[in-house]
Amino acid sequence: MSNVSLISSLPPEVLEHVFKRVAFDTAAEERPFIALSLSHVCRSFRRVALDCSHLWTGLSRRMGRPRIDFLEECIRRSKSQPLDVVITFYTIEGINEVGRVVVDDMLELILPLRARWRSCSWQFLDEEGRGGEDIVSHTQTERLPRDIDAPLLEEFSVTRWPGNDMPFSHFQDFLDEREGTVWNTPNVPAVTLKDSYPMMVPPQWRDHLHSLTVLLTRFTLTEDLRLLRRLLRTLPSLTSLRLSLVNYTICICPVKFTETFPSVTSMSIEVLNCTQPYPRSHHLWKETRLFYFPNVVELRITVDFGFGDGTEKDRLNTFGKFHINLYSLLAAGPDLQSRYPSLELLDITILQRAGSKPNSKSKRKSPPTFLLPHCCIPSLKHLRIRSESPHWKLSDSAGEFKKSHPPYFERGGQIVPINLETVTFDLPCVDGVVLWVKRLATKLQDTNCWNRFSDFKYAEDGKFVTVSREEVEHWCETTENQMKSQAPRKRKNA
Amino acid sequence: MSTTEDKTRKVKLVTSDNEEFEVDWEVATRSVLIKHMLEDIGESEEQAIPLPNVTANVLKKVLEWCEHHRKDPEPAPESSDDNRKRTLEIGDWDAKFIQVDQEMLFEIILAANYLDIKALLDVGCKTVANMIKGKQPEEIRKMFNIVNDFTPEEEAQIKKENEWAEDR
Repeated sequence: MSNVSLISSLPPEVLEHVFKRVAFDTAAEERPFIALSLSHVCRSFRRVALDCSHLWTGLSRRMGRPRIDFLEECIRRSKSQPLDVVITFYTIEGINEVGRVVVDDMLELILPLRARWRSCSWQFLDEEGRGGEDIVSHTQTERLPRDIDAPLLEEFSVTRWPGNDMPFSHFQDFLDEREGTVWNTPNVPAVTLKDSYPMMVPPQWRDHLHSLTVLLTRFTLTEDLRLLRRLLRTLPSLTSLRLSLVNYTICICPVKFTETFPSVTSMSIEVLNCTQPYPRSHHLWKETRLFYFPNVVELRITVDFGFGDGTEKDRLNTFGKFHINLYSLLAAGPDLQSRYPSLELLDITILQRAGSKPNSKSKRKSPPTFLLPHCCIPSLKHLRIRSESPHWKLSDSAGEFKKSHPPYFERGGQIVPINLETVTFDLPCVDGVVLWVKRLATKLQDTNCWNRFSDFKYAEDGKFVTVSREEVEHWCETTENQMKSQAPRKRKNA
Repeated sequence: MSTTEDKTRKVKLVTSDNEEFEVDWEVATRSVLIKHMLEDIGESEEQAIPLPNVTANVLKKVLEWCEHHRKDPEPAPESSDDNRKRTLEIGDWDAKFIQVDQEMLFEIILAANYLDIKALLDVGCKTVANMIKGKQPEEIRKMFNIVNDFTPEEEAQIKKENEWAEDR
């Protein structure tokens, strides 16, 4: 390799473009530190970084870090760019053990700049979140005006740290008091709630709110999804919904009826590292089937898997030999033909759970098998599945329906006409999906839908290979034969 | 606006190492520079476009990208917020396309900048941004063979700035 620094050959405007990309992709909390790092690499980086106003637009302070004079410098270097501000609130114990909420004294610095706020995040830190540290620099929440003029505001979020079951009452009282806050924004911003009470969306925005993200981590509360339904009911203009469940224990909430959310057209669901209290109780399906989205056109799902190593994480994801988390998010409830009757694009990402590896001690000898019946979404036109792990396979059926199966397995076995046109697999190898594709071709032919199908694509050597409808069956046969001939060699190598 | 005639037209490009490429008009005009040059020379099909800043192996790679994206809509003019989309995500095809060694990566970025292909420049810049994000200055220097050329006075200033990140 040459000793010449290739990055130094980039003109300053291109390096600035790189730095802007870094800035746009970095949370406001980290941005000043990343900016500082870039400005400390060499003289040419420093010149560009100091001149790149986007790098210095994140203003955040927690427990006295960073220093106020650094934030003042960031404001100066950000020139007139819109700002992303994070306001940290703390609870402190009063003399009579009555907690009260205070706010980091950075507030004094950023309040006069609220005409430049592009995003505003309220973060609530309780004593556990502070790790027992005292709060040195804070001010009274009364300093936060009831009328907030933020003409550039595009994003608003409320986060509770840490996201555990600690009492939230002090903050809740504060927020109840703040219900009267008037945000003067010409447009309703996108709202994100992280481990926060769903009703924290300011009432004045609800009629016109178009984008909502709800992140739930490390909770075991049963009420979250019920409260989410209650919130969604108050958002008639919502078009984009993202629900992320991470490290979450899914319990049954007392809702028994299906509710319709017709305004939503685009959705994203992540279920990662989650569990349920009891095995084989398929809570994920029971809880999510009661949300009916008749007009969702695009759906992105991210799920993970382990290797049946007996950890409690498998309680949610597996039913017998099948991984059911994916199908649980798609399968209709008993009174519906489809939970997403208008869905056209389904984009699935399958992640191998961090730390879980295939090993000989695993009870299960075959690779984890994701259940995805071909006919579960008749309206679907485009299916895309991506994964970096080769250690799983796809199955279209759980076999003959048995009474011990979850009820939605029966619906999954039905063969109905479907609209599928394209399937794309972005996987390290296709071994786990060949049989699924072969059966898809058969079902499409059996239901007279074959002419509608266009092609499927798979990744090979860094490029996508397209297999047209006419070639699908031949491709399946050839690939299966190759797999069979390679199997003894693989076993020998193993 | 391209016409049907344009779409069937071929364009000759000549690289700095004197290699000639004949490509479809639609592919070549992903480059705003080439598009403007073609507008300047008019209908003359025989006239080759010289690209003195691009070598053949780099142009080949750039044309591979242009061929794949030939049907993409024209990029929107830069908005006031510089296309502030908070993501370093790169499309699947582009991600595989840009899996090249550092030398080729920077050559592609320079070529995209010279040829004025904004979307390709953005793919390259996002790739570099992904490489440097979250790294300490020393790690960035090591990754890209950058020499620390700060003067002692500048080093003192940097030390002072590092204290900003500390308490209070």
